[in-house]
Amino acid sequence: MTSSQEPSEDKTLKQPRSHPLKRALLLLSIIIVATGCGAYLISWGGEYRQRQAARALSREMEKHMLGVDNPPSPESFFPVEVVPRPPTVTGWQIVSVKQAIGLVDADELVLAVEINGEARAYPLNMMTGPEREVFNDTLGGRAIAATW
Amino acid sequence: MYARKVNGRTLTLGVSGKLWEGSLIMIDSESESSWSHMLGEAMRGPLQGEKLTPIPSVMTSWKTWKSEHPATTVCVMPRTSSVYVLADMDRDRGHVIGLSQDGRSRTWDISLLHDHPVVNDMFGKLPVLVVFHQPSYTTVIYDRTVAGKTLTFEGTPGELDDRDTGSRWNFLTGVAESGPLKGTKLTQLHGIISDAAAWEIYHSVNSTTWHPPARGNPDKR
Repeated sequence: MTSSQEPSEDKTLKQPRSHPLKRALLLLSIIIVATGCGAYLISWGGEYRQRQAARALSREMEKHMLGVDNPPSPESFFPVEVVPRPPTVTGWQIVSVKQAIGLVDADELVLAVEINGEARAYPLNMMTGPEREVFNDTLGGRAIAATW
Repeated sequence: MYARKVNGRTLTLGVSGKLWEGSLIMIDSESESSWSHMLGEAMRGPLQGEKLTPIPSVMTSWKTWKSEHPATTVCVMPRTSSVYVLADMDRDRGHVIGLSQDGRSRTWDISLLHDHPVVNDMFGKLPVLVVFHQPSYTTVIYDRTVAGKTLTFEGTPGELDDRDTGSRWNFLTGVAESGPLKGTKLTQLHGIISDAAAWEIYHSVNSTTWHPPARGNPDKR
């Protein structure tokens, strides 16, 4: 613009009519950008804090590391939570060799045990993962924890 | 595998969601004590210091187990994994079988057992027999004392004989199937199959490792 007189009164009066929409759009984009930046900063801050916490934990773990000078004992016990405590596993079925056809493959590995003449196998592929690592079972009259 | 009765009280053991140096920590619902899976010992909580009685078990293939135990039952659920199959159990899995008792432990490297499937060894003062059956990726440890006498074994897991009486033994059941000792059963010991690294972390004190005998001197162990 070279002259300040150029815009007519009409134009300047008309402009506000188109402005609300534009302003709204501008405002909206500012909000979007700001929210984005804010979210980014917050998440960055969160990540930073997480990283700091992870570093502090690994320093702590190093301090408690088991070894010749620090054999396992209640004093050296330093568990670290990796997943929320899952419910105790239930709902399995105990079947015979014949009934297991199609359910258990011949070449699958099993954890197997015989107690007082009663034998039972636990296919490892069915007892893997935090939800499945310990089976509270009874065999040959004994309460057992099938786990490996 | 553990018995879950402690001081007359039956416990319900579960996964705590916590690991200690990479190994599972169990928790019992009755007392909320934390148990080391590797040690079978309560490390924290009301039952701290108590131990679970280990029950000797084996890791083997379903085919092999059911052929030796036709009346066996099997615990089934939908699979959560597909990696535990014979085809994936190659020599370099880094597995050991370990024995731990009275603050002392010993391991046998499974990759070495591929070439030495029948090992007559000592665990402290206890004469032990370690057998590795490659076709089913099974390792079993027995006390090789029978009626106060120490037996020495030879052959292969499929044709396992004791040198002293010439009896033929089943490697998986530990029962003598023919010969003078027919019907006798060896006592299985609580051998634990573990990753070598995980075992070492927990057993850094009073721990020994079996080494194969020097070549050309097979009787010296």
